[in-house]
Amino acid sequence: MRPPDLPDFKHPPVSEVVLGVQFSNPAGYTQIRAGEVWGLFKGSYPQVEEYMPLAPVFETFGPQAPTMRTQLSFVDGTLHDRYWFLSEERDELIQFQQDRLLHNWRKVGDGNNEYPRFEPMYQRFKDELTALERYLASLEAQTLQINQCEISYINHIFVGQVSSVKLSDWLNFVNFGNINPEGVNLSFRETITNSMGEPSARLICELNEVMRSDGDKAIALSLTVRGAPKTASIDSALQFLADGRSVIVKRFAELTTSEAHKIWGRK
Amino acid sequence: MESCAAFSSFDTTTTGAAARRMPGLERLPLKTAFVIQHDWTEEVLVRLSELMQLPVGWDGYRAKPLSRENAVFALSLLSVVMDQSKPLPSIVPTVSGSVRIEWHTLRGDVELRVNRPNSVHAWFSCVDEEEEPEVDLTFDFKIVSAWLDEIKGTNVAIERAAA
Repeated sequence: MRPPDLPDFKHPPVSEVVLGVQFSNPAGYTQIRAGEVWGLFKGSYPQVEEYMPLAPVFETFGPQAPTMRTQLSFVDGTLHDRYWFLSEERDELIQFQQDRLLHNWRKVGDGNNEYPRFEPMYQRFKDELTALERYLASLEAQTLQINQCEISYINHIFVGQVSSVKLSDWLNFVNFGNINPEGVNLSFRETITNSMGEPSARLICELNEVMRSDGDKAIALSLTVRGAPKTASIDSALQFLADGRSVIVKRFAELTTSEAHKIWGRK
Repeated sequence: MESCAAFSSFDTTTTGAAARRMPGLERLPLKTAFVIQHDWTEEVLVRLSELMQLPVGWDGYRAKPLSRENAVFALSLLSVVMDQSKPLPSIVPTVSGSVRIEWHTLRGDVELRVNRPNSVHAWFSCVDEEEEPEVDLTFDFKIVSAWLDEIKGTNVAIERAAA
C-alpha cells in the first residue's frame, strides 16, 4: 500500500523502473540450468535475449567516498550470461544471472504504455523471487542469500530540443545562468542513514542527456538506492526496496521544481 | 607455497620498499618523505587477482580460491578506508575462499577477517591502549579507518634518525 505521505503525480515522467537483488552464487546452479529458470517465468515472459553479466557491486561506508576507479570487476573465467526474459509487449522484463534477479518496467514504442505503479511491480517481483528461491531449494537445501538490493527510477523530464531547455525550470539543483551547455552529465551520491544516524544505503543521482527509443532527445534524471538488506532473506530485501522507493520519490519531489510538478499533475 | 605468501605491508619510510621503487626518493630529507604517495589500488588488485587464481586445494587439502564476490567486497571495503597516507595491508587467503586483511606497524595491528559480503570480524591492538577491541562489522567501516589512523602515527625512519 502506498504510504500516505509520499508525493504523488498523475503523470509522473518516469520512463523506467528497476527492482533488483544480488545474491551469493546458489549451490548446485550451473549455467546449463538457465533454461529451467526461464521455465519459471516463460508464461508471462516468452522472449529471451542474452547479455554480458553485471559485475558484483557492494555499497560500503567510511571516510573515503568510493570512486568509480576502485569499483573494478574481476574476471575469474567462470562468468555466466545474463538473460532477459521479456513480455510479449517488451515493456516488462526479468533479468537473471547466477547472482542477480531484476525486474524492469520501461516505456516502449511511442511511450504511451502507462507505468503500472510500484505496488503491482513490487508484488510481481516478490512472486518472482519466491519462485526462484523455491527452484534453487530443489537443487540443494538453501535459501537465497541476498547481499545487495537496488531500486532505480529513470525519469525523462524533458523531451525535444535539449539545447533550448532551461534546466532550472525543471530542476532545483541546476542553474547554468546564461550558459547554454551543449550536453549535461552530472551525478552525486548521498548516504542514507537510519534512525540511529548509521549508514543504511546510498542514493545515487545522475543527470544526463539520452536518446529515446522514438528518436527524441531527453534529459534523464536517474535516482537509485542501493545497499545491503538487514538480513539475507527475501522479506528483508523487499523491505529495503519499499524503503528505497520512499527515499527516491521524496528526493525526486525535492529535486524538481513546483512548476514542473504542476505539469506532472502533483496531487 | 610462494603464491600464497602474505602481501607485505607497504613501508612508509625512505629505507623501505617505497624508496626502492621511487628513484630519487632516497635523497629526500627524512621528514619530507613522511607521507609516501602510493596508488594502493594497483597492488591490491594484483594481489586479489592472484588469490582468485589459486588452485582448489592450494593448502594441500581442500582450500578454495578467493571467490569473485568476496574479492569485490574486499575491494569495496578498502575503497572507503584507504587513502594515500595509509599503509598497504597484507592480504591473506583463507581456506573457505575469502581473505584476511591485516595492517601491522610498530604502533599496533588491525586485522579484518572477511567471512562473506557484509560480514567482517575486526580486531584492533595499539601500544597506547590496554583493551584490544573486537567487533563484527557489516558495511560501515569508519572505525577501521580510525584504527588505521592510530597505528600509522610512527615512522620507522624518523625513529631511527632520532635514536
